[in-house]
Amino acid sequence: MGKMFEVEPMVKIRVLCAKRDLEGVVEGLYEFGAIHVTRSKQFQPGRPLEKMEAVSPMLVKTRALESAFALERLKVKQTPSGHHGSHSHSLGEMQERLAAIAPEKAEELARRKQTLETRLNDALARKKELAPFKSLRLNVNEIQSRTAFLEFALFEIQQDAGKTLAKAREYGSALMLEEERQKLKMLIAMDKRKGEKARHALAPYAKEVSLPHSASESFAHEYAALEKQISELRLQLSQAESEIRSFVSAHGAGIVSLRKALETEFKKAELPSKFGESELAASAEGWVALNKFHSLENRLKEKLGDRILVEKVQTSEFPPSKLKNPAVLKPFEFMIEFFSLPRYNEIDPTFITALTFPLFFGMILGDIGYGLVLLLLGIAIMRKTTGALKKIGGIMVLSSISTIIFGFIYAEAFGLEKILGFQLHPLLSRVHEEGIEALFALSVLIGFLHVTLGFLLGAWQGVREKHYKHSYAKIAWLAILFGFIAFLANSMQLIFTNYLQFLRVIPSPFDLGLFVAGIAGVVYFEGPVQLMEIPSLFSNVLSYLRIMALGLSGVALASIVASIPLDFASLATLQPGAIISFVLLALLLVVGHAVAIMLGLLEAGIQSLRLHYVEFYSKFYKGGGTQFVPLRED
Amino acid sequence: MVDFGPGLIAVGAGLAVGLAALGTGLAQSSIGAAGLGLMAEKEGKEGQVLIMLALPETIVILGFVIAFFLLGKMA
Repeated sequence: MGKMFEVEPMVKIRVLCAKRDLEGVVEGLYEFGAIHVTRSKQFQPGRPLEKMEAVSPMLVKTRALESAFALERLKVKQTPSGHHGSHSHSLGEMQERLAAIAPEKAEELARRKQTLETRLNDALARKKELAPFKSLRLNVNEIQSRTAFLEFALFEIQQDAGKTLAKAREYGSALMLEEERQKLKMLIAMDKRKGEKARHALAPYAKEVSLPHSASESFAHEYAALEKQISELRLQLSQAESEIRSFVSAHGAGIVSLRKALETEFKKAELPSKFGESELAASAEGWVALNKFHSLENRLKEKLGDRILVEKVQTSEFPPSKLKNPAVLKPFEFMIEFFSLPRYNEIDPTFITALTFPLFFGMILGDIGYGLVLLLLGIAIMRKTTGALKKIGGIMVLSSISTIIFGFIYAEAFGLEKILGFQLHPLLSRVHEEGIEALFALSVLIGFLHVTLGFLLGAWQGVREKHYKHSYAKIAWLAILFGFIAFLANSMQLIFTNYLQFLRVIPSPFDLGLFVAGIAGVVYFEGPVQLMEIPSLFSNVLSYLRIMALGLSGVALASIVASIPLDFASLATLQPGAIISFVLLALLLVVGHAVAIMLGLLEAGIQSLRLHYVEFYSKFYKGGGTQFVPLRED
Repeated sequence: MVDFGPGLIAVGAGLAVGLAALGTGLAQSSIGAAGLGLMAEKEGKEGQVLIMLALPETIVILGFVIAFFLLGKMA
């Protein structure tokens, strides 16, 4: 039983080998995988393997290719050879694979594409600049440089084109240029001496912009040449792109798998920098699961025979924590990791959390319909995602099952008391007053039990660590809780204690006696300052009333949505008005339920989590363990 | 003579939940801001921030309990 609450038992090991066997040891450790390597303090600090120097530039080159051809988005199927079994890739083989890719040619290809793109962009920008002048058959710049008195100026007309043109013609010859995105441009040729006056006169109507320069014989000429150049560049670019496509289809997958292989080899080559080494020997240290010690030892012996020594090391260091729970409970490890990993000798609360979290979640949401929707959503998330999201999907699946069960207890399906025409009969109704009162008392009962369980686990943790004082203190807190609630049950008729009547086995005045004894115990074992926590002890229990309170608000929302009148009979009339209103109401119904489900998921999830983190874990769990990081993930 | 009693009780119940929620909101606003700051500075503190953020919520629950009892009196 106790095993469910334990993290994986670990043992620290040390491997001693001759320095020439270093590479073999690294291979052996890597094949074994499930070892958390720590820095060895024996001998001198180690250095990476020699092959590092060869692997590192190859890795840089492959990564550069990967990013140049945007291969990160490429989905590469795991080749069986790269997966299990042969984890070792010889340096020569990898060099050959890299050479087959012809990285220089590929880099040249990527560079060519980039240059073409830059040139095309430049040409396009210039084309845009010259667009207004595309039929102007004279080189303004040249004329301007040859004559002493003539000046050209370009204006962007702000308002009243006709008037502006007339005004401009008072000073010289003005020409409207072709329109470009509703911006009228006007070119003026005028006497240089009149320039200032003209600018002043035109200022309210037009804004002067700079006149482009052209080395060609005219703007029109350059524009035509530019158009030709652009189509040529486009052709070249599409050629380069098709070359790249064929390169990617030939080598893309190869590059990605080579990068992965190189990364593995890089990690291996780097590993000995954590080892210790002397002139002839080397030592590696790390943590392995106790039950895997022999398989590690056998694997290394198989590889290196008697030239190697594998031993267990006695140490006062704290081992890293590795949670070990059956697959069904695995998703809930996410909640523990999110809070803080258990220290090595601490209780792993995953098992308890996996029981109580779905219970609270279901009690809050409690709706057959919503539960089914969340079940489907949870399954979809589990199938489509990996990592943390997948775990959340797993939590959702278990929680939604509990939601469906409580949906039957409360007789709620999409906010109604019937499902597919069948009338449901509640065991406990959240709509009627007696049901609400029962749920109120039930929430307090659950709070009482959960907090009590927390204290009991805390006492057990104290025994495990041989800190008996902690255990006694937890018992003293329990005495305060039991004494006070027994006192309430004995002396008052409160709805709180409806389901806590069993505590009346502690008759008055022993209830108060227990309470006082508990206070004395807390003062003795934890000090008088801790008495400040007494109010929060009771507010912790009352805090579980949120199970009922959030449930009620959820029911209110669901029943409001469910009261949207959807009349199928109106469809039969075939009147357009009736059909439109039916469709709109149906849409409102779907959106309303979607909102109710989202809110329910968020509230039930966060509040159940909080009840664990704040009210429950605070009684026995500290966390702060370090994560067990295996050399290789399976 | 109109009996104001039940009305006043109902108003009291509303105030109990409403003011408690206001207090919780005030407390959470500064805790949330500080918590986000902590999360930005240091990774892996999400769990603790969530706990700190959740602490004042109990105030609303206590307000709700008072309101529940007040409404019980009305009936």
